[in-house]
Amino acid sequence: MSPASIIKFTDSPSLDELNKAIKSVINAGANSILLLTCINNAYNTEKVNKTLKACPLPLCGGIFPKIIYQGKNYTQGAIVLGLMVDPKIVNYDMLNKSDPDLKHYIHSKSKIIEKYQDFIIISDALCSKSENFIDHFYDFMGSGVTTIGGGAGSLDNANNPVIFTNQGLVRGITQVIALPCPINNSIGHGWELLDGPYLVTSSEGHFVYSLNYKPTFDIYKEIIQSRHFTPLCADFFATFAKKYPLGIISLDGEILVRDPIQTNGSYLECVGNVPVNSMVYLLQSSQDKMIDASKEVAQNLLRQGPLNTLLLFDCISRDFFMGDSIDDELEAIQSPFPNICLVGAMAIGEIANTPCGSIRLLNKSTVLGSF
Amino acid sequence: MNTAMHIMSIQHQLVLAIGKDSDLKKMLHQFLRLCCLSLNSTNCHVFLVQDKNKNPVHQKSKDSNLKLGHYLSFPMKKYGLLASNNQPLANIVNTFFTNNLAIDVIEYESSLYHLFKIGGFGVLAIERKQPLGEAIQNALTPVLKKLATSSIGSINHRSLVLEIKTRKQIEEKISYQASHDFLTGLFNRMEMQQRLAKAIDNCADQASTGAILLINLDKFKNINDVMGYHVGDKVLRQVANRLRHTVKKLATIARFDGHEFIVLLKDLPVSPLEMKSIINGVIADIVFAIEIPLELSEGRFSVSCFIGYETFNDKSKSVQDVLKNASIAMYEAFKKGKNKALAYNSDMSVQLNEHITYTQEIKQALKNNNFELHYQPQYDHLKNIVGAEALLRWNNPLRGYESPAIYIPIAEESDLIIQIGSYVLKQACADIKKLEQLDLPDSFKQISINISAKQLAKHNFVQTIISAVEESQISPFRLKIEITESIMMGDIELSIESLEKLHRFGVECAIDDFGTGYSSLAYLKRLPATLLKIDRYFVTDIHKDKSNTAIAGMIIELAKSLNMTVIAEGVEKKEELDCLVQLGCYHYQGYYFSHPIAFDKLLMAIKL
Repeated sequence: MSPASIIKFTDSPSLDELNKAIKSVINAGANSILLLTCINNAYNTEKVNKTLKACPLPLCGGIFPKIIYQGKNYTQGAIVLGLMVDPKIVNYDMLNKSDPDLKHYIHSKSKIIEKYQDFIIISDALCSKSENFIDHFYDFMGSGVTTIGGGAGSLDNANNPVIFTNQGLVRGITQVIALPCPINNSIGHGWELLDGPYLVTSSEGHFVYSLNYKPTFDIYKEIIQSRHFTPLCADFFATFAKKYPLGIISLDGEILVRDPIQTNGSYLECVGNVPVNSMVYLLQSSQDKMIDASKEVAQNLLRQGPLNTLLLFDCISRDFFMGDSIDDELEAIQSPFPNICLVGAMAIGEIANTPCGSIRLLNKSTVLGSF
Repeated sequence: MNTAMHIMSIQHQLVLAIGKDSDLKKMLHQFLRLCCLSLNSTNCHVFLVQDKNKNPVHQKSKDSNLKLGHYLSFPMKKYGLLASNNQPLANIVNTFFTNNLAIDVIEYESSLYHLFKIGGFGVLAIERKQPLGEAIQNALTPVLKKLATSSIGSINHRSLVLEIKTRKQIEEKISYQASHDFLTGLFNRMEMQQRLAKAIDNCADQASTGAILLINLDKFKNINDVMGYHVGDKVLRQVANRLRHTVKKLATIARFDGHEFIVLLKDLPVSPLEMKSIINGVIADIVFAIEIPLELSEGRFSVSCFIGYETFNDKSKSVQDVLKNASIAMYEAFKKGKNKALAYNSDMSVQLNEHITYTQEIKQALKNNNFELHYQPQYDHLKNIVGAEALLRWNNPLRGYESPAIYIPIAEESDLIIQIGSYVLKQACADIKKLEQLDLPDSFKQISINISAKQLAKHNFVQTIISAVEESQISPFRLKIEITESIMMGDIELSIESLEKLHRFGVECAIDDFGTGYSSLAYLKRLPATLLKIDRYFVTDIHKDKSNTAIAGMIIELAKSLNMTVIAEGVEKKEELDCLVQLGCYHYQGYYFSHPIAFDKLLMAIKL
């Protein structure tokens, strides 16, 4: 089987190294370029824009907290995937529109890729309309499409441009890379129910204001304190939030994880929407369970058939939870594919279609794709 | 316990989406989206009873073959195919709709369709890979009831909104029709008058100047007459578009009447020089735009225009004053011919008043029988009188004999020329009757009268002549009609038809002023004319002017070849007569032989 992509990796934060890698894949006959780079590279925007604008091939990708190469994660460096196929790249930049206008915008802009069925989606994680985008995109494309992707950006909320385009680095957009070849995907997380259910009695988008008519953080704190007998200290949230995410369970028993990222002492803000009247649970996991889940993700993909390029979007919060063991998880994903180089990024929120078909924004999850 | 809560949670999530938006489509879109998310379905669809315009209705039609139509799906497609085109799904839904079940589950191509009735007018289809439990299916029943109630509300709201919208559209249409010209879409006269009134008020308040340009399409009537009104309408629409494009937002345009357009210019500078410069610029643009040939499917048409305008800068002139003055200026521009546009000045009113007075005098003269017919005898080379041309004379009680060159053009502007023509015909027939009662020499043939363009164009022209001849009980051969070459060519087919009828009746025709109309010689052959009159222009000094000699010679040859008699007009000198004899022309009319004379003198001349 001929490779679907040519992969060049550098662990250097240097822009020169990135340029070399790009030139190399161009010379090797790639038709387009997908870039995955680290936020710590701190590229000079002006210089990197010069590189991007000069690139003769269609170009896409994002800057992530970390990148993944051959079962290891890196805080610096870049992966240049020279795609041998000719994808159609659509940048959705008007995401600040009100919902009816957003729907019209997304539907009309997606017309040029409506015949495609396989997509990589990279979105600026700071864009609050990412999930609305996913809803409208799914509405237009329909069930039966295959999607993988994740949120780009930095964890410090710095509003820097993080999406690569031929016009330069841009912020606040969602990028859809429509591939003319099939993608297989597999998703998992390893989280299980700890406590609940609780009725979401007040919420708006990412913000969960009350559960069972009480302030969300009061309930959250009580459950954790009942198990850990810990006082409410300054780092209480930082310590426990990564261990106890919220989860919405579907009718068929699938858990949609919602990662709490901040609180004001009353509400919880999550990565992703939590609808009013939905039932939420507190979730828990362990390193072993998470690694087991990742192994299952890899095995599931292996069962699906031909493999070529392996692209992983693994949640950065799994890295926080697992610490140094994150490489064990990455190794567990790489090991069933000894002859294929696993590449990917640690993302802020993952994107994939669930088994029922709908495209969802996931948290604390592993999304593995092959094409 | 947890399952019960989960089901309740789903119920509440779905109910929350219902009634959130009064727009049915938006409300159902939100509902279907939540169905998909909370029920883990791949696609959700709503099918509804719809009217012929595909608007949902909540009343079931009496038609037993009624089918539900696809209304909305979330997501819209499955494997790239639109749910609205999914015929098997439509069949499944319609089969379910006609049965008595409230809920059903149908398996089709690895999907399970969970079907729920929405009132008696719709179906919700939830597509899943796994079956929905009975508990959740039952839990959806009250949700569906609420969905039905809310949908009815939305449908009613929509029809109400549609009704209001339709009423508003009708009101707007009526208001539009009241202020716009139906043919061109420009403002109409009434709207323009209102706007002009406002403009006059504003000019007075804001110390600025305004102007009204009245534009008349020259020779437009020919297009209507020859090609029909449908072509004329197309021309008017194109001209309106050109005007609209030319003046753009600078001015207000209206179709004033028939082929008259009016342009209102506002906020012009007070300085006369600056103001005139702007107006002249606008006029130049309009003239240029109108004179570009119009390309229609019926052919290429050229129209030109003449423009009169009047300015205003205070309230001293009323709307009617401004319009009247612009109209007078337009009329003057038309009369002068060469000028495309004229500004109004008070002298024009004086002239117009004189003109109106003069027209009244002509009318009065007709009533008072102040018109007379004089006759100019026509001779052959042996000096026999062969006929005479009747010529109108007006013996004005105040001014004496008026020149026909003054009153005929004025009479031609109105229907007075028809009345005058009628007088000439009747009087000539009466005089012929008197002649016939005398012992006329064989050489005397007939009396000829001149026919105007308006007479010839009248639908009853032929019958009028025939009636006059019959009523006078004269021989039709004694009357000859003279029609100028150019009048005949105005509508050549009609001319040929009319003249042929008269020819069959016995009234002969002469082509007057021949040689000046540059008519097509091909038509000449088709005209049932028996006489060609060489225009005096070619006769005067024919013995000195070689080119006139040549032309007259050609006309004489032409007449011979067409078996037509030829007569030379304006013969005043013996040398001219000699030259004409040499060229082969043997009939003459002119001062050399006789001035026009009164009928009794003609009688004497004939007897001599």
